[in-house]
Amino acid sequence: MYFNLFLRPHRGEVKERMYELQRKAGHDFGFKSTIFLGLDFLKDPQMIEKCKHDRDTYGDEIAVWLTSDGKAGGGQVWLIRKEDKKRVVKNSIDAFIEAFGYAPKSVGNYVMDADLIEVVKEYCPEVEACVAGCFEEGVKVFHGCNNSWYLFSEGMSWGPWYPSKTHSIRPARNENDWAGVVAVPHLSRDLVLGYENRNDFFASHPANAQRGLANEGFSHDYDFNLCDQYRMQKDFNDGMSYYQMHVSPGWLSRNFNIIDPDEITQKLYIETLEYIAELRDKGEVEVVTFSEFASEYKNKVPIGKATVGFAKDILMGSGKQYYWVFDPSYRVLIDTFQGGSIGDLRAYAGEYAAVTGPDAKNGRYHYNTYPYVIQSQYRTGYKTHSVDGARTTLIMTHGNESLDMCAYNTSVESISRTDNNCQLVLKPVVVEFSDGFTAKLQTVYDFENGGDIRITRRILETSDDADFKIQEYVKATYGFTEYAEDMKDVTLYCDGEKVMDYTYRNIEFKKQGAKTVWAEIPEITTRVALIPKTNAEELSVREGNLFSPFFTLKVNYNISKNTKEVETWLRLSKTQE
Amino acid sequence: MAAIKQNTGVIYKCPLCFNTYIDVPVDLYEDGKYHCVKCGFVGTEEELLSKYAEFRDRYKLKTTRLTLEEQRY
Repeated sequence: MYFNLFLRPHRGEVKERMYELQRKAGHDFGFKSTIFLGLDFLKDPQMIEKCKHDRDTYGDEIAVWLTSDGKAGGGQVWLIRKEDKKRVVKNSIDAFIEAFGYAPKSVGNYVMDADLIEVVKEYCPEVEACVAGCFEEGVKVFHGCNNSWYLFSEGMSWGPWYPSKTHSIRPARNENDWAGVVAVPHLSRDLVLGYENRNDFFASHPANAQRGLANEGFSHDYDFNLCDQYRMQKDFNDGMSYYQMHVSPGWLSRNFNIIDPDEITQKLYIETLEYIAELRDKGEVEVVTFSEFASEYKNKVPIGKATVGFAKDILMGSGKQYYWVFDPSYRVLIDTFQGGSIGDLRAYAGEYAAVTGPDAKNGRYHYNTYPYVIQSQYRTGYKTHSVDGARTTLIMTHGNESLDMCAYNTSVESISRTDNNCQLVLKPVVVEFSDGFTAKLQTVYDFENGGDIRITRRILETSDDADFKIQEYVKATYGFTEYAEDMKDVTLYCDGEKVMDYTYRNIEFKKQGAKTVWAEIPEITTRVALIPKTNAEELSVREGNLFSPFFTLKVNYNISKNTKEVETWLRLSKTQE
Repeated sequence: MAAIKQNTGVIYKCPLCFNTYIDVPVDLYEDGKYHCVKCGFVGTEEELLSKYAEFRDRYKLKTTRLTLEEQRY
């Protein structure tokens, strides 16, 4: 596993003291750090000399932390106008060159939108690496910070990625689509709790975990377990995994978010570094600077290659397992606790374009989120007060009784990959109907690189030859937050023919023997299609109403005694503009 | 309502708001109790600490070191 230690000095007596503590701790453990300097420090002779010393003595890298300025109205650098971004970038890069005599290779902030990366690369082509987002930081953190933290970058990678030119958190499809830098999230976030909970509590940042009360005094097993969660990712990614610690000094003393005494906070930070140093000494971790990592990543991971993530719950004790794929066509989450349904789906194939700032389109000034088509946490999913929401499932029917695969827990049987395919096999599920009829089914997902999500339902066993039907079910929508968007421009199709505009009348269209159904979502330039690859009885497409603003695609199959498996493809593509 | 007394010690947050994962610092008033500006919580320091301990109980594995093998499927 590659490890980056990021440092970022701050002003103020306490914070300066804490920066010295961090600096010493990192160097005592023999780490190379990457030191991010804002414009203020880039003009501070004392800090410049200190950084030069650390670079020359310990191999540290010096980098730029881009910050907004007074002319732009302050705030955050990704939320200012493009013309202001240009000035900020110019001032910071110029100051860096004046201070150190060469151009920086790394820059960053909590978020870098497509405009900001473009401005950086145009002004300073030497930049290779950017800190450019936070995995699943958005709605939950906004609420958690008492509705005050305007950072929305949900729908992105949990690890490094190649940003596209038109949306910084969408992974580039190819060289032409690539913005020219390697990007990483601002922290390594928990692959389970980043989805289910506040991502900012559960990260490679011991003080963040303390903020979430996930330690017990000096006991902080979670910090070590999370580091190991990321070490494990090399199992699924041809040996590649990445972890990072990025704790600003203000977290280590008198931070208003932390209840523990400073003594605990500082010890947890140092002990976590110590653990990583031990791993390094065992050959399990390679400590590099940020630009060194970017070079390694470019050498080892081609543009377009899928990243796979797998994690168990390592804190709550729920036994849950989640599986992720991050690919140029989609980011998808498989929720094994809900029968292996899709809990989150971002249709990158639609190539939705976005920048942030007052000049962003459609008034979406804040949102560097890549919009979802399924988000079961925000948009109801299986459990509900009235009707279900965004999710997938398999509905199994025998006689007049239907059972929902989301009600059954499963877990991972195997994870594998080839150059062009990532496969997930789930453990079989046995369903029992009220008259005693049972069926044993197994779900297999094939995530074709840059292509479809292929869903195979293996019928392993049925108790008799009684009437048995299954229905592949996709209920989707589009959105940026937990609130519904305007669906009126959505159109629904069957076999290539438009069958309805979305009018909130809850109308369903069915067709025997149809070959495909899909929905087109112009707002995010995305088509969501369901295609049976096994003979299907009937396909249908349904709009919703204002109390259930979704669309539903269904494929119905009759299962005979000879049916061994049923295959359906979920295809995401770009609509014609 | 008593006037706010400056909190110069530990900065506590409202345990009721925090139960819904919302951070809201609470202020110590002259009545010796902490009051939340966002909800109706009123309580002593002992009550705060007790509720934080209850909150931590949701993390069943917080003091369990999982091996890498245990994290695999």
